Amino acid sequence: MPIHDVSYQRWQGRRTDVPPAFIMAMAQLRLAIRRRVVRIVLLLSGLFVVAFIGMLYVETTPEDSAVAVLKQVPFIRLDSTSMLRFLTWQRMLHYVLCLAAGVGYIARDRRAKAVQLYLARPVRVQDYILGKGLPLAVLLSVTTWVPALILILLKCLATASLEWLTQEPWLPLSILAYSALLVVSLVSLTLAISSLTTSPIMAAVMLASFFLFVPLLAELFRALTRNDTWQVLSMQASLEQLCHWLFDARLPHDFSPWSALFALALLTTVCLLFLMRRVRAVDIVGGG
Amino acid sequence: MATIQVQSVSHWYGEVIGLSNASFDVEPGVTGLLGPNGAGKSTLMRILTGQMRQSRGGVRILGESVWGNPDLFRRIGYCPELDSMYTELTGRQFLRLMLRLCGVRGMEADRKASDVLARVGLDPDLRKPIGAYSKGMRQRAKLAQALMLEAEVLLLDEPLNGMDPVGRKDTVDLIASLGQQGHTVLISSHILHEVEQMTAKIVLLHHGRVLAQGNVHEIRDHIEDQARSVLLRCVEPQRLAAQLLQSGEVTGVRFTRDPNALVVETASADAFFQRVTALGFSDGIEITEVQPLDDDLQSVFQYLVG
Repeated sequence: MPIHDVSYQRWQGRRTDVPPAFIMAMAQLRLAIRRRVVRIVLLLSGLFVVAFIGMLYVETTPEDSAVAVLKQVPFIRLDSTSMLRFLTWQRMLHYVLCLAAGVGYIARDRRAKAVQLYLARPVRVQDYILGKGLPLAVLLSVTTWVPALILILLKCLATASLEWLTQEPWLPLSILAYSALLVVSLVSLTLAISSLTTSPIMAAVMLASFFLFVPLLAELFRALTRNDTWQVLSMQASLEQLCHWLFDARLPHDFSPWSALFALALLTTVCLLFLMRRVRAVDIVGGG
Repeated sequence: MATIQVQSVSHWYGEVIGLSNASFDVEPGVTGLLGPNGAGKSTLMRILTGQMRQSRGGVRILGESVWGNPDLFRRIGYCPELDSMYTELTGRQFLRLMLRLCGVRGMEADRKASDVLARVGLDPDLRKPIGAYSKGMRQRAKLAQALMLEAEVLLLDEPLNGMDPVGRKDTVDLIASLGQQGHTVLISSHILHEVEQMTAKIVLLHHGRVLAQGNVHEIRDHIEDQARSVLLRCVEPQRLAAQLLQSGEVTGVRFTRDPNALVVETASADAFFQRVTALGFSDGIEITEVQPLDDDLQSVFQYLVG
């Protein structure tokens, strides 16, 4: 038997306390931003912000200025109605973000068999899911509550007053609540679908089908039964209903916002439970 | 104390058995994990790296239970058999990410990534993404992430696959040196002669069971139903053959093309070697070389696995 020097000491450097989920998220975010589609979506979302800043400029400009004539246009006013528009008009961009960036996260890892490498590090399944969900949550945030709150802040600065906000004091909370619902439900759905396959393209097709066909199915049931409650099956309809409810606007569908909230909560829970089962280092055939 | 303790571990994939009541210990140094396809090597590696929970039994590494113990993985370096890397990242970015996941700070992660890439023979400044690497380069990058933290325990699943001859030699030397430094290295490989260059300690799996464990030469001694072949080199091989056949410890003699050599087969190795020594002294037959031919890894593997 060879005589081994067992005096070996492992690396004793100082370790950071940065959660692994954060490190994974940063790496994933860098990769996502490299994608042209993602950059285009962010640019389009930025154009929305610019348009709303322009609207704000018109709204807060003195009556005697050249652009003051635009104040006659009914929707040139930053309030809960325009904020509702700001968030709902960008819905398509949110779906594109999920398709372009988020849906490939786990599928790509599964294809590259990188999940086992992650889970052979000090990374738990929860860390992994969080690390994959955070980048999409960040991308969705920069197109929802972040610019919306910045717009509110800008209006406060431009008017040098909080008076307008005292008429709608719930507005920031509504923005945050709707954004939270949108981000959590979309992220969990996207990741759950991403974990179903090893092909990012297939995952994108499945997610697009979900976005497209589930509302169609809900519409079909609604038409057949003449009961609007079937719309609750559609994630988009549920989000729309909740958004209008949170912004105190007229509800677009004839079902309770609580049903919509329950449907979204159920969808999110199922997706997260599914993810916890699905994300594992080894694809196991059968039991064990 | 053994670094890796596998105690009565069994694992079933549904109704298929992957590992059956496997028990063995691994101590510091290099140990080869051998077995034909389907023997249970990958199952064992996955259990050892906490990717899969054994159906029965216990696995401890560095005295700690493996399953559900992610902190332990800071002390384990794992090189998986299959490519499992982000193809969009460069080797350095990939290693940096892996180091950061283990808690290494940014600047130090950069430095360590460069060091370890250089150690496995990859250019740290190479800007190519891993997807554009050759198979051998990807294998080196994979090995680099296993070595990056100088972990006490290294679990290497087929690390030589796809490497060119120079890469294989470098890797064999590197792994052997890690064993000498006191790392516990468990290496699974199909390339027996290369495992033999790194270690004589093996764990041999077959149909999910541990067929043999220990030093390959000692294992060979226990295989009594196979006659041992020994090459003898001397000036008068015919005379030596006659003497040996008379002694009764030899079951067969074969002459080779070399006029000064013969190959004998014996069923009782100890008695045979004593006889050869005695002949060398008493009968004045000058024996210049005694070389066992079948106590190498390949022979032991063939005798045991068939």
